[in-house]
Amino acid sequence: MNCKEAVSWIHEYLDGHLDQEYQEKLEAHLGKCSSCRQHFRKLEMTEARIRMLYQTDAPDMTDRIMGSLPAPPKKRKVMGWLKRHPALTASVLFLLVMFSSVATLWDTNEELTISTSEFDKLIIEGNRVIVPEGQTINGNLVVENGEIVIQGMVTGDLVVIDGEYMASTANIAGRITIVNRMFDWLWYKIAGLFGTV
Amino acid sequence: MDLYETRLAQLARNGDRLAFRELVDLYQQKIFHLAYRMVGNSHEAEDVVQETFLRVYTNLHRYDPSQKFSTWIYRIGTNLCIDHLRKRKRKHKISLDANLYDSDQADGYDLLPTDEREQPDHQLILSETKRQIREAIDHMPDQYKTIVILRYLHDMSLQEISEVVDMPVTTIKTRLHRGREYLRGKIEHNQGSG
Repeated sequence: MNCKEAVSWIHEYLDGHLDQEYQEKLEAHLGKCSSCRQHFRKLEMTEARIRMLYQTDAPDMTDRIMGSLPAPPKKRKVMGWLKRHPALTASVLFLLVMFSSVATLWDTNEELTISTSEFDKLIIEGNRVIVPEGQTINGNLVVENGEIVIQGMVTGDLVVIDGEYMASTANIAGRITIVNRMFDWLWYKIAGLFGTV
Repeated sequence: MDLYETRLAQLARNGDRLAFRELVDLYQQKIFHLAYRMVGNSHEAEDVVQETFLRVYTNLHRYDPSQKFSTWIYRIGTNLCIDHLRKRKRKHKISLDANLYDSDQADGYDLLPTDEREQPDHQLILSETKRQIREAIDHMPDQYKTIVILRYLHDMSLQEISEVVDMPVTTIKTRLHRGREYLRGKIEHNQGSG
């Protein structure tokens, strides 16, 4: 081993990268060569002195740093909240979708709508629907956005949505349901979904 | 520890300020020491520390959890220090007072405002040897300085340094060896002994 090689091995040793086998060879060389030995000692001392510098007091900057941060973006805040409450998020989302689709229907649905199995027995004048005397509607009758006058009979339920009805209850075999507000209507729709109206 | 920090970074990314505060507590001293040694005074070092955490905070969504958090924050801090030094050099070059900062003669220490010298962190370095080492490091070229500081003042392995500065280990090794010889020469020269 020559001195040039030895110096590069010394650096490897100081890096902590010199294998045991080479360490022994290096030690043997340092034992013989006083110039390399001195070089090694100086490098070791240099390292020790650099390490000594790590003795400054760092200021506590926590408040300054935290104060300098921008406010978290709204979107991320909302997303974080949603991620923490998955069940609530799902139900809110469900209601939102329900509500918006129903609201759309509600907005556009201003025309007279009649639902019955016996349409031909009815008389319609403008938005007034008449069940004439002597006529019997078998089954349910649903009228939306209209006025219903019952002179005859209805064997099923009568449902009036956003409208008025004029009839003697005796003429209607089933129940009478009047829906004038959106949420009642919504409830009627949902309940209808489960067949409980 | 690595996993804990990665977890904190993920929580902070989702808007958890306390988690970020914990990261600030864990790293502000380390980054301060890095910056202090790189830029040479505590006032500018504090600015670098603040900027580092601001960058970390605004880039949390880019943090890759498969990487060590320490590597990531050190990379941001190191780059900011180097930017800072470059900007300063440019400023001195175009300044009419350029001769005030003739890097061959001024030792950096003399350029510090007197009130800063009175601060405790400067009093600690009153001993001759420490002063010499400090000046020697201050005058090292940036690419050597960074590696010497990360190696000796932050106890990083060559592998870690290579990840922080994004250079191959062989390059780090060469620079570290040269940096070591440079500092040895400086001390030797200043002591006037063989």
